[in-house]
Amino acid sequence: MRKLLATIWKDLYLNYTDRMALMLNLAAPFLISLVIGMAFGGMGVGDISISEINVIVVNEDQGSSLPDGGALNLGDQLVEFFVAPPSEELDNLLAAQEGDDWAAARALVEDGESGVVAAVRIPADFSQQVTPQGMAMTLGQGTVELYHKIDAPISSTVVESILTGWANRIATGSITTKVGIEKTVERLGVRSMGVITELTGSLEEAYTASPITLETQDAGGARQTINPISVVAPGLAILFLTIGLTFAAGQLITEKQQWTLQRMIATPTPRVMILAGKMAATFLSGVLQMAILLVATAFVGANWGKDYLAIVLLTLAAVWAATGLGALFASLVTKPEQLGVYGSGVMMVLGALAGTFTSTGFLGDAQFLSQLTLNWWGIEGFTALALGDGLVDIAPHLLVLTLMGAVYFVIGVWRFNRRLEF
Amino acid sequence: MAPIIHIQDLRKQYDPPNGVWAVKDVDLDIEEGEIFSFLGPNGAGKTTTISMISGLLTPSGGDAIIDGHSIIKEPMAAKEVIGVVPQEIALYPTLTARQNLRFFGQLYGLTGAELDERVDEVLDFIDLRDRANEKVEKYSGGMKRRVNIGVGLLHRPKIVYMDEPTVGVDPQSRRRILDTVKALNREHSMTVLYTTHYMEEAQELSHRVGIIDHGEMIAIGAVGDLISQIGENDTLRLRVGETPDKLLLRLQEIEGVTKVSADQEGEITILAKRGRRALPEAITVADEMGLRIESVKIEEPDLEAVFLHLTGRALRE
Repeated sequence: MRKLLATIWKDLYLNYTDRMALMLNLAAPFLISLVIGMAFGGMGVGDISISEINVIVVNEDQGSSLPDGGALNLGDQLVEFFVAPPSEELDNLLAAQEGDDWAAARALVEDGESGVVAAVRIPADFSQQVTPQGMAMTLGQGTVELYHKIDAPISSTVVESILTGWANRIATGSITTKVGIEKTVERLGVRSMGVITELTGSLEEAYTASPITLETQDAGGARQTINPISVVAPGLAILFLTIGLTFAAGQLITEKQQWTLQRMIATPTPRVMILAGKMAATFLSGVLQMAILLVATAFVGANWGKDYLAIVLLTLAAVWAATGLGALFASLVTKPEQLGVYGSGVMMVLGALAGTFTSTGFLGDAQFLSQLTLNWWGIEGFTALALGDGLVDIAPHLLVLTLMGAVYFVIGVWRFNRRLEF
Repeated sequence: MAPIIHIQDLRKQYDPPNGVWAVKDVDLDIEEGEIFSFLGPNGAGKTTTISMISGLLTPSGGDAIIDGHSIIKEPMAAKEVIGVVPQEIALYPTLTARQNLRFFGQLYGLTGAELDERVDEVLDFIDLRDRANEKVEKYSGGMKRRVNIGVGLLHRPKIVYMDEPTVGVDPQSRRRILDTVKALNREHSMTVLYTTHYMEEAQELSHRVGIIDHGEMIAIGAVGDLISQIGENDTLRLRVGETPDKLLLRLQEIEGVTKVSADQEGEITILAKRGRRALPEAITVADEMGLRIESVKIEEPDLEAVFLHLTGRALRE
């Protein structure tokens, strides 16, 4: 045991008295995460690795009667917009269902086990408020209520954005709603094109003057905002972890080249203890790197969730998998310089496959490739925790990362041990 | 009394089944307190043999019993009694000499006050105590070599393996290393297994020498015994500039000449009984062929001559 500790201590000492290693492992990841987080400040929801947000839409809208005897129910349109979204992108993003009881819907949001992130209520007079009555061009104020989980700020903001977008479309008469507006105008009995144009313009102006208000309330009573760094932090953290640990594992090759590894093996210390000591040092470096990244990015606004045990376990699992990957990679190259060229490149590709930099949409039918990377499992796990999921929800992520790490580690150590035979 | 090192049928093939046999069925016994040198040219199999009996390489066959422990069956017990000094400077350059010694001392199972005591003892022995807290990367080549040797002595091993410890060092450091080896043997009763391709070192240090070539042990014995194998042969060295095959054949025909070889730099080595008598005829042959002899040297029999006698090649070819 003393020999194992001596090996670990020596490697950590070498790592943390080396300015380059310090820069690579600790300072650079934090600074770059910060810079990229700021650069991605205006990122749209399409770049967030979120899907099937569970929303309940309670439509109490009674609709409004038009002068020609027709009826218009904007609440129905909103329900349709959520339940059968007009675009594939929205369809992937939402898993909405219609509810009929507002109190029950709120209860589901408050229930941590239900998976329901938000509830939307369209009040009974909504259509009446936002539809011109008679020949009067004065519009009322329709209010849509959004009730969301406090610990799922990203999903809540996504739902809020969709509602706002829909409201704006109503206001500007675009897409399907515009048809509704034109029908309204027709039903008003005005046939002259000039008058239609004039009235449509007046209506649009009226709608643009904010006919719909979104009233937002979270289940915990306090409003949370999303810092863009929350979106990029998990992906970058895992990316830097894999790069950093690949270089750390590369110390095995350096030690073989400078013969200190052979000298260690010539002592009465089992090989497996030597390799385990070196990997343990790499693992601890990774844990330290992740801890600093998590704390530092949280300090500037990143949200990592509230289930601290799950965060710790997921961090350990991700570091374990990255350590194994590093060991495997170190067993495949023969010179430390190769790690610089191939290591960073391969880790960047793995990061891209996992959606670190952008949506994985470019993979098309090969989306499954993402799931072959430890990055994907790490990103998904951390994102799930940020969205309010807990330990049970990320159990598959923990299992897969642990298994990946074990497989990489065994193959890497086996290959490296064989290569020690010169 | 059983030998402290007993090597039996030790062999190593790289990249089996078709790879080269680096060591072929080596048998060897080394007695406690001996300095035994492996002498052979580069690539002869010296380092491979040392690596196998150090537990660094797994033998393809055979075994080595070190102080009663099989390197195959009880490698940890065998390693307890061995100190290894590799040819390379196997140290962490960014650690100090003391930190290097402490780390490897811990791997030899030393702890606490005993570790501190051994580290100081070794620093005194290699005469670096006053500079022990400087990083190794700042040391001269000779100082690094001394620390490299010191690491192998930390646990007071019964046996120390030294693999070409004088390669690339200046004459002063080389002298110091050779004196260190003698002191280890004389004052600390250590058995020393020493590999070198410098005939002079083997001749100066060793109680016995094993000559190895192409992975085979071709001769073992005390220096005097090995030299006597080649009788009273002298070695003539002629520098001619060019060495046509016809010249070598003519020299071979001279009475008393037993071996003739030439290296790429134009030096001809002739092994001959009563070499001084063969010299005038050799000069005549060269003259008849229109070749100008640039220098002539006559040497008494030595291990170089033994190697030439056994292999037909010079040690440094």
